[in-house]
Amino acid sequence: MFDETKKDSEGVPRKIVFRASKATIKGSVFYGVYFVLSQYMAPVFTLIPSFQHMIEAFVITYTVLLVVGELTGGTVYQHFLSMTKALFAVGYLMFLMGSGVISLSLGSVSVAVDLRLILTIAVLLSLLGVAKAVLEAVNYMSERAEPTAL
Amino acid sequence: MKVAIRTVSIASAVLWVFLIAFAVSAVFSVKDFQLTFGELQSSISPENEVVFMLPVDIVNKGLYGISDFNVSTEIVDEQGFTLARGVTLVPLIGTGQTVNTTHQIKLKLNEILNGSTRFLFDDVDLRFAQTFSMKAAELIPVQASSNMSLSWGAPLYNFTLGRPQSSTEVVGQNEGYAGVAVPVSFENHAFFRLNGTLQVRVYNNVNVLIGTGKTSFDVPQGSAYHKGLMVDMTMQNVTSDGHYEVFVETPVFSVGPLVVPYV
Repeated sequence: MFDETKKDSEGVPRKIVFRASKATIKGSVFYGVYFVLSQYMAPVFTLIPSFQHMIEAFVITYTVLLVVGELTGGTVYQHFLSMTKALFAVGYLMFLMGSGVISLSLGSVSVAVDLRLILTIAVLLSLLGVAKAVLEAVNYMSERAEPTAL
Repeated sequence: MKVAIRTVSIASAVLWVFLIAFAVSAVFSVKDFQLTFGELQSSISPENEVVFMLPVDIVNKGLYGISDFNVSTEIVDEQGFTLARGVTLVPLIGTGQTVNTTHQIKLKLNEILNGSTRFLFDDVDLRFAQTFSMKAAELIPVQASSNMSLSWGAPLYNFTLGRPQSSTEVVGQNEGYAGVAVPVSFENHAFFRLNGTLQVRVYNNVNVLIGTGKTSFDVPQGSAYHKGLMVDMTMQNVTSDGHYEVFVETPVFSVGPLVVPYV
């Protein structure tokens, strides 16, 4: 009895450390991927600084939700955060879609890039993320439900 | 349920990776796309149209092909009226491909000069609107547009016909006919050499034809023309005022009658 309680009390910090490590690694990998990709996008970011700010704001918020989601792993909050993350992506992309045409002026030349098709595909993929989060939440709740004797 | 969730997760991840990789590589490959314009040249076509030619060199060293590459140009006057329009379409520029083409804009000078004498006598500022559009990676529409100001030089700038200067010389056997000099002057501000014939009909103040004269001219670009045009005139019907009817015929355009009063 005493040993089990001791084991449980030893397991909680271990779980927290494990989740924190997982969250840190996931967050770092996500930001690392963004950092690498942003190097390729550097010419575009130089031309359109506002586009860089928009992407950065998205990446930071998404990373925070990702990290918090991992920290709350194993609880129902993980699924709430997972859905929030997916809905945030949908909302942000919809917001971007409003001005899906990026315009910039280079001296006397004005350039417009129509990204609506790419953004539409991204919104559809984000909706797939929402569906996945709902399925995970349903699965979690059904696993947690106690069997009732008839 | 878990299998379904896993399947959705894997499909979603794969599609996200594919989408992001495609978007980033498409943007990255745009920097390897080169578009060079040569010097604008002009010539006169056999149909008496002024043809502006703009050599365009397109080099695509990117990862994806470029489709629907389109250059369109409009020449618009101060009032927004389109004088000429030219469109050049290259359906596909593959990876590593170089395309050399010439963008043409045909200006129907005869129609323009007959439509408005402003272009004949006054220098006019025209707007040269250029639009380039293409589909980067054959999917992402990109459009660039620019406006340039183009100065139109009038071929008969400051065209002046002076008062007939009577001569004492009697022409022919019938008395009352005289050779009269009508001073003609203008500057050729056009981008082409102006040669052709100038015909003048002189009318008195009751619209009676009192004389005609014709001369040929050859005025280089940017040069002035000052000469007296000899008109055979019926002296008995001469009045102190009246008007000229002017006809100008060149290989590029023909205009007339232009009515110019004299006093």
